Amino acid sequence: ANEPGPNRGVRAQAVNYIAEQIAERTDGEVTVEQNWGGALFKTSAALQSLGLGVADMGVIIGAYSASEFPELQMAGLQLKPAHPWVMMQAMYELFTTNEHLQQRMEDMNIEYISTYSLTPGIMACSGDGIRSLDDVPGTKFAHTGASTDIFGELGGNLVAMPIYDVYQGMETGLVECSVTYAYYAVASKLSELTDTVTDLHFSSLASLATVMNKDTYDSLSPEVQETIKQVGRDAMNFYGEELVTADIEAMEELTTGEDAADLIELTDAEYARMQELVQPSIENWKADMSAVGSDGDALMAELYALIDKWTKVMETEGLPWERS
Amino acid sequence: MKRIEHALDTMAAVSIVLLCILITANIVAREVIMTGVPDIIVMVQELMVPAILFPLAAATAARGHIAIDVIANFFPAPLKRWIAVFAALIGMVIATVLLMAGWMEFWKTFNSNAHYGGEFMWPKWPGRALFVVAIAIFELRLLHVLWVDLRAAITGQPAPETL
Amino acid sequence: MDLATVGYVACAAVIFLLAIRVPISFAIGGVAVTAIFVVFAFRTGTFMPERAFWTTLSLAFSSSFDLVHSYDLSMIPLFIALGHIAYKAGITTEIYEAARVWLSRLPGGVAIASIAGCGGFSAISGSSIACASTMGRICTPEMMRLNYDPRLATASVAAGGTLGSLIPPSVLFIIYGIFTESSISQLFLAGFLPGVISMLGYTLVVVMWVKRSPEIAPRPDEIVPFRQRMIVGLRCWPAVLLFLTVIGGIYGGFFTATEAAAISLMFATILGIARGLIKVRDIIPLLRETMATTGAIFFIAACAKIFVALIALTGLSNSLVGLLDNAEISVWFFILCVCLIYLVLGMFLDPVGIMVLTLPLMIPMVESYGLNLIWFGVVIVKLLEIGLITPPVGLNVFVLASVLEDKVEIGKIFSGLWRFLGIDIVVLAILILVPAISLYLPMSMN
Ligand code: NA
Ligand code: NA
Repeated sequence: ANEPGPNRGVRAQAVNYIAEQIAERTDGEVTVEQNWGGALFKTSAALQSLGLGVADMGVIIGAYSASEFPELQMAGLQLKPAHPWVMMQAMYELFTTNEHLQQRMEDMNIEYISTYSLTPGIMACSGDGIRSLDDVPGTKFAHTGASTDIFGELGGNLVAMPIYDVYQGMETGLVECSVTYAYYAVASKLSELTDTVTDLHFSSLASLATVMNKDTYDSLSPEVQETIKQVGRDAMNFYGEELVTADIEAMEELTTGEDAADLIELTDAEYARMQELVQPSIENWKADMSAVGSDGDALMAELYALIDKWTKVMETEGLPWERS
Repeated sequence: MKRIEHALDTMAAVSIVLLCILITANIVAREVIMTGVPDIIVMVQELMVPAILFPLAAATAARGHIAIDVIANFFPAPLKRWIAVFAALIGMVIATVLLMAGWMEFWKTFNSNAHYGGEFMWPKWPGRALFVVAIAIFELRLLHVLWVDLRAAITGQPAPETL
Repeated sequence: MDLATVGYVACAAVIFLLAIRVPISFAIGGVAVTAIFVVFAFRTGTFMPERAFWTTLSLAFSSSFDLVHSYDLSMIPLFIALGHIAYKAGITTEIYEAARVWLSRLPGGVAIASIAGCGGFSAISGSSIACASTMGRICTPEMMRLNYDPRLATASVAAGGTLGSLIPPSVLFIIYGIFTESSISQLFLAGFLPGVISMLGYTLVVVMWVKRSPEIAPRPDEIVPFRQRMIVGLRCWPAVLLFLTVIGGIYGGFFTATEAAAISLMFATILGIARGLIKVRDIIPLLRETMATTGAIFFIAACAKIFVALIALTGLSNSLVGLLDNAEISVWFFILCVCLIYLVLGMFLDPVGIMVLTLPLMIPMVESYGLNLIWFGVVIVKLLEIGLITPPVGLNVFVLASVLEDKVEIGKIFSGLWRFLGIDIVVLAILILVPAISLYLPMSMN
């Protein structure tokens, strides 16, 4: 298996969980050799490499194959806000039941195993920070991905850089703000430099997935296949708990204690303005969808229905790790 | 062949100039007009392909591939000549694999909507096309080297230093 | 045959091919794609070449294309171009003149100045390769003009180039920090003193080497009066201005270390044009010569990336590191084994490749021994830097040979390097035995 990131952090725990559980539940019949840090291939090549069988299993990230696999990238857009666990369940159900998607994944020769979601993005800044959208013009933002685009629209000064450079950029003052995730900010020590944290009311992105090479999957016995599928489903609950716990701890570390960062809420009007600004990216996505013969509106409607369904499950039954 | 290589080297040099201007312009723009050059990272990445790989053919013609002489210096001349043939064959292995792989990638990205994100949503195929061009001319030159070295090995004459 | 064996056989094949003078890129790349094909073909137990074909192509392409198609690495061709342009713009000649009148009476003075120059360059670049290539283009030809022994003129720069990753900023520390979740700014601080100690070590090597064989660094007889020396020193202002601009730009938050290369190149070009030493229409022909050498170097690096994929595929690094995991050994023996593993891998692979292959397995063991991760990071980076100057695959050496347009043989550069490697081992031992050298700055800043 290939994982683009390091063997640290919540996703790595879930990736390990999948490997360990598969070995345990098949009594060692199937074991997973893990490569970290993209030692085998980089994220940009993951979709094709897994389809061809360079690795049997691995993590793909929607943003790196947005035009090749826009269906996955759907959950990387700013859609309606939902709990990370709900997003995972909704994406998983969509990808394992929708017939058109089944066909698309068969064409790509991959088998969908599990979903990862991120906690909603936050804006971490050193210095005065973003206390209202009026502060955006002239502020320097680390531009590491599409989630920062709207701040360019709002007059922010986008400084394009690889994500590795953000820490030093913030330390030297080259950038003031960066869209990030609470636990990532803490893990990468960006929290040391953060003075303010602005809540963006972004959605939980769930465009990351573990998939298997389909030939490899098909070569396994039906019992083993079902075991792997079950591990994939359990992994979402395992990961969900780890993620939420890590996020709460990280937010605490960011916003309490001696060097606590200010937690800033914007006004409803400002959040509405931000929602408007993400619309063009959704239009672009729909164009990508039609280019691969998929219906963007229909799929999004289906995802929204599933989000509602799983939100209801969460509200009535509680999160799996909170049920007694 | 020489003219093609000269053109490729010139394009590599032009790519370096463009890289330098783009990155400098990006720095100046964000300090002066408070916004960077859009899609700078994608453009730099794409320019890196000709900047780095286009000179490969000329380097091959000039026998510019680095090798370690320490032990081979003690070999007799005929053996050295046959090793040169063998080396060119091994070079053909990697060049052929990369050429086929590059072509496969180019064909796939060219016949699909594959593009990068960002402002202009640059298509992915030009970088792949540049890769194929670089490797194809490199392999042609390698084939030439193989032919010249093989003739030298068979006739027992020293092969020319550069082509 | 198990997979790790394929990996060991591939390494042996590479050594053999390199020994009989097959070009480095061909040997590494050819063996890597062949072995990858074999691994994929035998994956299901029986020989199935049809399944191996596309996977091999895909892996070869993604490894090599991703290396070239890189924003971060754009600094390397730009810095190599800077070396050439700075020469044409007269900047390097001024540095050389100053070094000559100030330092040539010292034993190996210009070599020492080159090492110090490498230290200074390390403060603006996070890449050892960029450091070796730029300084190699600037310093080595000047030393050869002074009739320095080519071994000294090249080895001092190849070794000096390895300071690039110890002295901040440093790509390797950033990657290490991400893999171990340790503070990157603490790692940067931790690398500083070890970088300075390495620099002093290299200086010591030069002094002792020249003491024993004075003929390798001839001293001119002329005695330059102080006034003249001041004038020559002041004439270096463009180099000083360039250095201060870049340092100020990076640490003042105007640009990143990656962008610094483009700024430096722009600066040197404009200066050359302003002085009338470079004509605008000469720029393209000048860069054409420059680029001719970078293609071959990057091709080695691209082939090395394919080899890293092979090592990942065969689990060779896992099998090496795994030897340690089950053994009940003392902490000192563990550290000794770590050093040996990294030195062996460093003979063949690039530093980033080694890190992603080994750190996931290594770090839990380091933690179980209760060792400090910041200090361990310094030790790892030092070990990886040593790998850049060890045969058979020493990227710093190759880069240097290529910017010198093969005027000095690879074997000659390696033969000058063993003294520097010797001091590296001593410095490494000191860093391991006295963690305070690494930890003093990060601790005192907190
Ligand atoms: Na450095
Ligand atoms: Na080495």
